[in-house]
Amino acid sequence: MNKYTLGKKKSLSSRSKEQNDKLSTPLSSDLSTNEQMLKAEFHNNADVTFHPFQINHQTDALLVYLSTLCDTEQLDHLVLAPLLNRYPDNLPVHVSRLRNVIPLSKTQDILSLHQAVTAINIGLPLLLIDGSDTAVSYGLQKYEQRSIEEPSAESTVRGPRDGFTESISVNISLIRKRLKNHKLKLLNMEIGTVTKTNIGLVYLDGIMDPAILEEAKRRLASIETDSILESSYVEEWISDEPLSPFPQLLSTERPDVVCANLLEGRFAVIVDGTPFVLIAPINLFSMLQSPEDYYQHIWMSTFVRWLRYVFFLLSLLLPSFYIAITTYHQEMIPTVLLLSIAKAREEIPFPALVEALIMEIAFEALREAGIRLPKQVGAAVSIVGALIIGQAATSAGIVSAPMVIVVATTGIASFMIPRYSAGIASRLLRFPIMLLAGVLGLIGLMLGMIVLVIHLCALRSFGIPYLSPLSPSSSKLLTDVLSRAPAWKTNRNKVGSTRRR
Amino acid sequence: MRINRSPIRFIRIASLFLSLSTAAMLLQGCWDRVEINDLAIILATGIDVTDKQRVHISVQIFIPRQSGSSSSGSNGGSAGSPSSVTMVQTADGDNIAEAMNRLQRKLSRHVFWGHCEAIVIGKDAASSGIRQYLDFLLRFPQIREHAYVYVSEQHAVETIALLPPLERSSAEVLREMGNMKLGTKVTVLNLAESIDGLSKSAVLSRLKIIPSAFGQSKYATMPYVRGLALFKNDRYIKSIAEPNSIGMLIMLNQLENIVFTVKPEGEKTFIAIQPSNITTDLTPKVVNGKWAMDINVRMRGQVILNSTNLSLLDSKNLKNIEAAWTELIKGMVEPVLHLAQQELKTDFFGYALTFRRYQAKEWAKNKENWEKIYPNVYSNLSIQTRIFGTGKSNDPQGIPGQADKRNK
Repeated sequence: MNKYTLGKKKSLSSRSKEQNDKLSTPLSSDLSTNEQMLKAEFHNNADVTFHPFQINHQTDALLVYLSTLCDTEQLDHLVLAPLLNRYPDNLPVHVSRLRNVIPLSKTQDILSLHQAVTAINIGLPLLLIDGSDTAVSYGLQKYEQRSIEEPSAESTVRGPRDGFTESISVNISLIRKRLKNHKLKLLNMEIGTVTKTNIGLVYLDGIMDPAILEEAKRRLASIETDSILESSYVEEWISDEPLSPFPQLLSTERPDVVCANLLEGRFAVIVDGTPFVLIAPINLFSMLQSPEDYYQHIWMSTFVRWLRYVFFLLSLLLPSFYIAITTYHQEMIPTVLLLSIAKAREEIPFPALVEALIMEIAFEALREAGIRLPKQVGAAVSIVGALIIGQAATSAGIVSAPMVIVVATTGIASFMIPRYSAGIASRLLRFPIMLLAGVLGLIGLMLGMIVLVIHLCALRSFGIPYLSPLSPSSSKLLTDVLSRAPAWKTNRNKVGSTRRR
Repeated sequence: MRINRSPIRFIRIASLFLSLSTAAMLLQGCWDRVEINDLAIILATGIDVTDKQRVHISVQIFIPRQSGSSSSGSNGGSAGSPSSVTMVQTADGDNIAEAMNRLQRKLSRHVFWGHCEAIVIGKDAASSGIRQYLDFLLRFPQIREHAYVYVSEQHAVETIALLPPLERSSAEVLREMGNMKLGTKVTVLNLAESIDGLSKSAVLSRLKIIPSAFGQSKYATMPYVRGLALFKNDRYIKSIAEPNSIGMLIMLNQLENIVFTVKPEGEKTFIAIQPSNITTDLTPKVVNGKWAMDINVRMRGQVILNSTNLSLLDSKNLKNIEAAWTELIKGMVEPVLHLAQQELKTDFFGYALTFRRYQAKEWAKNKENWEKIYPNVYSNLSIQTRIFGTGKSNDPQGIPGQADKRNK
């Protein structure tokens, strides 16, 4: 993919530079010249339709549109029909008068060839009239899009069921529907020299910290790429530390999550063509929070939050801890437990570290296989996996039963992290920490944790410390981390107040 | 807020990590790792002395092989046992460290002391002094200082070699018995503290072996706590059995799991009382150069058997029973006080420590003469007993015609 885009980028960008001058030429008042220019741009484009006709049987006109992106039915009905039937006979044809004839409000005057090409590219029909150097485009594009469905990656028991779609306008409407306020601002930009992807930066004026907003704008503007096909492209470009395994932007499919974050002073980046919306700046704890925390009972949410914190640590450290104490610190295990482990491990040919690595890698492989396969086959994979890992490996004496328990617990723990992207960090970092624990025991585990904590302390998301509000600590905001604060205590505008220079 | 996207930094960190971890992986021989499969897990240790005054240690080692269904089991020197999950290995040496080293040479796995939960000292070894053992047990890093210490009437190895039908191993029996407080609950650390301390004495539980059931192997039985072993300085001097051992436990504030049989005045039969808490307070006094110790024993208990015809609803009867109970306790404690102060002249109850704590000035003046003062300390015993419950029934049960009388 990378190689492919690199190659494409070179050829296309060089071409576009050559033609830049040609494209910026203004439209001529002669229709046939304009037609030739457009035909030259759109040669070998089977779906570009040139439809010449005459208004009042005297003036030549031309409709140019992409038949695949344009709503031709509406075009015929709303543009062609009035021009052919209802244009007043006595008046000369002029662009400025078209407004009074064609019942469409979404129009744009096109003055240059470049504008014309862009308009056609995004599916707008273009009306050119002989004798006029101004063309008109009508907002009659029609993209195929799926209807609003429940997001599959973030399901909740209680909470709104609508999820974002691939269309940016639908996504923005889903947000506007929830925040009916003119303070909700939307900045539009187009990124990707080839894809020309529409990207929206959404924020709440007055709540959003202007400095963070400026930084976000700066970073978005500095993206130099030919293509944006998913919001992760943007994420990689604008992350503070793209090489860190911890994501510095939250991605969500849920409009309610976006609204909640906008209200807390964050901004959202909506990318056309993907249902995943980016939110920043975030901290580690927002990775471990689910939107449902705020929809269910306070005590339940607090309990679940703590459960998540514990299991996040377990998913990161449990195999390493098991390796460390069974190979270096046997005195730490309660006697009866040690005897059980000793019994189970007696026949195992591998050291605990190798055993754990085999199992963890097998588990990750199964997980990956299960995700990529069609749903029907996925079930078969999990059955085979359960049989191989759970049953056969233990009864054959290759893996001990306690290790299976450890790996299974780790697996469940990693599924407990509500954000898929945050789970990646614990999945990946597990392996180096396991190696450290295998080489140095608990000291190794501790070293791994120290390195991890140093990294997390240094990490920033758009300038906001990743461990805030724990470090730098803010006792006011910490209540919503240690528990789920009740609605009347929820501290909005939390991002700005912990901001550091 | 600069975006750091320098690939050089990343490559440097990644290559550093990679090279370090590959080096660590390749140097496997340098790891301190010991897999559980390579451990000989010791559950209990016995210390004896041989005829030639050499130290003879015996250890109970866990056999990790999956036993269970196979009835014959594995025979690691313990054939014919009901549950052969442990084996015994012994070694001699001029001192305990040497014996331990010889023991390691006899085993194919690393000797691991981290789970040795019981230490049994044979009576012979105990009478020749336990100082060197204590030093080793507290100095050798692997050994738990919370292991319980017992003295066995027989050679320690005989206790260690038992394969109890009820528990996994005799080590577990000893640990559970320590937790149940059937005798004194003394760990290695407690023992060392009490011998090092001002009292220079210790009281340990004394182990005996229950004769095995008819037709069973002679090892298929359990050790049990019977009586106490008294230590003066680091030497075993005497063992005591009931009722003296009970008196001793009352004085040590360690009595639990006991039933007192009380015969109230004027009755031919008895009442059994199960105390629920027994506390003993020591209050030292020095008046006009006379040293005295107020011993205040308080007991609360409930009646669990009433074979007399006394109704327990009548408070007069209860007073009567409580008085008899007090007498009983007095009869148990006084001989022990006499034994400790006059006969053995050993401060088992920690008098010295209490004097130092609460009569610090007097103590500082006279601590050199403590040996002479101790036998003459006046022990002023006061006992309070209280019956707070009469069990499920009030009236005596099972008396012929009782119900008839009640219905009238």
